Amino acid sequence: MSRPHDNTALARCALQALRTAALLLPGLVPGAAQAASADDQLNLQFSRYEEGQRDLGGVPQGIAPLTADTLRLSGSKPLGESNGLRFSFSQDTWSGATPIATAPLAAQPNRAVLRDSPNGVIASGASPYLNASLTLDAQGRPLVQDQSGALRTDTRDVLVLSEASPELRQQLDLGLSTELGAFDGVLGLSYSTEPDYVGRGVNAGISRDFNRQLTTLSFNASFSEGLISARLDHDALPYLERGAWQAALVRDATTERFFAKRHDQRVELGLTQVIDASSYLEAALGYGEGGGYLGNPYKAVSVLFSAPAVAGGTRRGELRALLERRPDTQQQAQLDLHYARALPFADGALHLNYQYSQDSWDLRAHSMELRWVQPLGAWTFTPHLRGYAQSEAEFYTAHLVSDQAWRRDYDAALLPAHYSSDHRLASFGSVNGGLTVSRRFTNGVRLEGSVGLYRRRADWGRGGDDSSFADFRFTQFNLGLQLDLAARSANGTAMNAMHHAGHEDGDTHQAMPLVPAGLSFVHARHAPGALAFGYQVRNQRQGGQLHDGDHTLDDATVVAQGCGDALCRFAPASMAMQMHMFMLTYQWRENLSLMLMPQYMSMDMDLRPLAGRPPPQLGEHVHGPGGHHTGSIGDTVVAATWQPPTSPWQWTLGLSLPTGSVDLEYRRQNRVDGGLMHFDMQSGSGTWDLLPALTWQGGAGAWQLGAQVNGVARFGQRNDSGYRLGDRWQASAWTAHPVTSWLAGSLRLTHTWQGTVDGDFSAYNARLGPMDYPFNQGGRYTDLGLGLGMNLPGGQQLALEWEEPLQDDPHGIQLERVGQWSLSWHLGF
Amino acid sequence: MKRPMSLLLLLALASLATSCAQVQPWERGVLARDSMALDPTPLQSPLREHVYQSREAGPAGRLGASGAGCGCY
Repeated sequence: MSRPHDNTALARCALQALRTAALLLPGLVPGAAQAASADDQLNLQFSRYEEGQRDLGGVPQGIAPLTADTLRLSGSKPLGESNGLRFSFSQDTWSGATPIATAPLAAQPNRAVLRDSPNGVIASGASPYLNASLTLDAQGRPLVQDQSGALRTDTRDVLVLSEASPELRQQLDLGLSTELGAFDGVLGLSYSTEPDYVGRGVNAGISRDFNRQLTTLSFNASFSEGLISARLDHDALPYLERGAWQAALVRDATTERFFAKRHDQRVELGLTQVIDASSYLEAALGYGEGGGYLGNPYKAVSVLFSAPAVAGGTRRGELRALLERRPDTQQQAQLDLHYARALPFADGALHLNYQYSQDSWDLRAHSMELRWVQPLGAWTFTPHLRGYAQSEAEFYTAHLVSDQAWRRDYDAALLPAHYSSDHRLASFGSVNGGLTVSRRFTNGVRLEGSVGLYRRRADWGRGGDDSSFADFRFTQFNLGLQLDLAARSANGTAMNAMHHAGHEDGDTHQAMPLVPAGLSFVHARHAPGALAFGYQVRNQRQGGQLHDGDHTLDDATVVAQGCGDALCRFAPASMAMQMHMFMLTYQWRENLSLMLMPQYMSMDMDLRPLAGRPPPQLGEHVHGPGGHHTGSIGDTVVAATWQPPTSPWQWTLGLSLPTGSVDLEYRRQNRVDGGLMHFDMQSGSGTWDLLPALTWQGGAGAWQLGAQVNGVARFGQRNDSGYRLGDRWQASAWTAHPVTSWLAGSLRLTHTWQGTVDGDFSAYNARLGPMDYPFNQGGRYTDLGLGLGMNLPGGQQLALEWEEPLQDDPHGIQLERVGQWSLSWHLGF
Repeated sequence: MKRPMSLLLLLALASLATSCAQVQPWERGVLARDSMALDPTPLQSPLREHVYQSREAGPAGRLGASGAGCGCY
C-alpha cells in the first residue's frame, strides 16, 4: 500500500481521518472473533416477550399467555492497546402457558376448569389431561358423534397446554480478545443456571486480515455442555408413561426428577470481503454436532393404542402420553450470508442476511432478513423484516397410532424409534418485522427502543404435516441504554467539573463524598444539562428462626398462633429479595435535577412444613421441598431533587408508579389453583406512592457526615389484589473517613418503621403460613451499616455496604433477618 | 448440505477476494459508518436470537451467539 506523505495540516487531518476509517475495518470480522480491541462501553437492556392466546379448539385457555422479561447488562473494556474484555450478564424470568404435547381434539386433552359465576357455571380455563378412550375408524382416525348421532372422523389435533410457573435463568458470558502477531484471537466462557438446567460453554476464535485489510478470514470453535435436572410436572405424573426412562428418573417426596446430560460442539469458518467502497459481503460455513439427551423432558407425545380393526370396522383406542424420544445425536450444517450496502443518501445502509441450515434430523431451515439502517441527525431508525421457513423433523408427529392394545408393558418395538410432537420441529414458516429507534445524546449516551411482531403459520412451512393448531403470535419490546465511556472520557464530564471544583485534574481520586451504597436519593449535583447514570443492587436475606421480636418460636407455637384463626402449615425457611435499580439523572436547572429509576425485582423463598401442622385437605395447594422464584420489572420511581448551590440540604420528592406486579401466582397443581403468591413475592406495590426524602451532608475535618430521612407514603387506594402495603419511614445517619487517597470507609446507623398491610388478598391465596397474613408484615428494625467506597478514574464511584441487623421488632411472627448487602455505582456524563 | 455445492460456494466466495475492487484506505469512509457495522443493532440481536432459538429449530444466529444455557420457555 502506498502511504501518502505530506506535511501540510490539511493532509495530516485527512490522513488522520482515513487512518481512523481504516482502523475500523479490522472490526469487520464475524461474531465471536471480533477484533482484539474493544470499545469502552456499557449497555443496559430490558426486554419483554409476550405471546398471544393459543387456539385450544373451543376451550378457553385460562392460563395467561407466556411472558418473559429479560434484563441484560453487557459491556466491553479495552485492556491496553491490543487486548479487550467483553462481558454480558442476562437474567430471564418467564411464566405462563406452554405446550407440553399435541393430541387429537376428540380426546379433549384440555379439560375445562369450571367455576361458579353470577351467570352460572362457566369454563374459566383448561387443565391438561392425556388419558382417554376413543372410538377410531379402521385407519386409526378418531370418530366423534355429530348432532344427529352419526359417527364422523375428526382428524383435528390441538395443543395441550400446561402452565410454567415463574422460572428464573441467569447467564454470564465473558470474552477476552487479544492480538497474536498478525492474528486476532478471542477466548470466551459462558455459564448459565436455572432450576432445571446448568449450562457451561467455552469458545475460541482466531481471525486474520489479508489483502490490505479488505479480506478477513476467521475460524471459531465452541463446546458446551448442559446438565438437566427437570422436575416433571406434578399434574402430568398420573397419565405420563415414562417407563422407558426409569434410569434417568429419581423420585422425591412429591414428584420425579429427570436427570440427563447433553453436549454440543461447533466449528465455523468465516470470510468477510470488501466488495467496493460502499459494500461488503460476509459469509460463514458452520458445522455442529450434538450428543446426549437432546430432547425436552417436559414434552410428551400422545399415542393412540388400539388393536387393529377386524374387517374395516371401528375400534377402541386408548390415548396415553409418552415422554418424547429424539435421536441422541444431531449433526447440523449452516451457511450464513450477509451483504451490506451503503445507500447513496443520508448515510443509510441496507443489510441483507440469509441463513440456511440442514441437519441429520432432516430439518432444513431458511431465513432471510432485511434491515434498513437510516440515521437522521441524532436519531437512527432501523426497520427490519424477516421471513423464516423450515421443514419438519423426520420423527415429528402430531400424535402416534400404535396397532396394539394398551398395556402398561406395551411393546416399544411397535412404536417408531424416535418421536416428538414439539411444534418447533414441525413444518412452519414465520414472518416478523419491527422497528428499532435510537437517539444519540452528547457525551456518548444512547437510548434505544424497539418493537417486533412475529407470526407463525403452518402453511408457510416447507412441507409436512399440518401443524396449524400450533400457530401463534408474539410481541417483543426492547429498551436499551448504551454508555460509550471512551466518548465520555474524551469529552470530559460536567460531573467532574462540579464535583471537583477547586481541583485542577477532573480525574483526581479525591474529594468525592462517599455515600453508603444502601442509600437512595443521594446524588451529586452536576452542571445544568448534564446526565448521570447510577446502578444499585440490594440483596436482602432472611433466614434462621421465626420470632415475634422477643422470642424465637417453636413450630407448635407458629402453627397455633401464626395464622390468626386458622392453623399454619408451612413457614418460610429462607427468603431473598434482590432489587436492581437504575438511576438516570438529568440536571435540569442548577438547583433542580430530575430522576428516572426503573427497577427489576427477583425473589426467592424456600418453604418448610411445620412440625405438628394439620393434615392436608382436599383441594389444598400441594407443596413439595424447594422454593419458589419470581421476578419481573418492579415499580418505577420518578423524582425531583432541589438543592441550592451552597446548601448542604437536598430535598427530594418522588412518585412510585405501579409498574410492578401484584398478581403473581403459583402454577396450578392437581387441577387446584396455586393462587396468589405471598406479599413479599410480588414485585410491586400496586399503588401510587409518594417518596419524600431529606438529606444533609457535611463534614468535620477529614470526617464526612450525613443524615437522611426518607419515606414511602402509600396514599392511594388498595391495589388490584385487594391490599395496600404499609407506609415505610427510615432515618439514617452516617460518617465516612478516607482510608487511602482513593478508598474510604463508612459507618451508618439506620432505623426503619414499616407498617402492616392494609386489607388482604381479594383473590385466592393458599394461606400456607404466617407470610400470607397482613398482620405478620412490617415492624421496626435497627441496622448498622459497614461500607467501603472508592473513587475511580473518570468521576466514577463504586460503593459496597453490608447492613447487620441490630434489633428486630416485627409485627406478628416473621423470619429473622440475616442482613443486606448493597452495591452502587455512579457515573456522570 | 451437499458437498459439491459447499465446495462450489467456497470457491465462489474465495474468488471474491481477487475479483473485488481494491478500495484504498482513503476510500473507506463509507464502510466505516456506524450504519455499515457488521451488526448495526448489537443491543437487539442477542435478545432476538434468543427468542428465535426458543421458537424455531434453525440455528438462530451465528456461532457463539447464544453461549451456554437452555432458556427453553
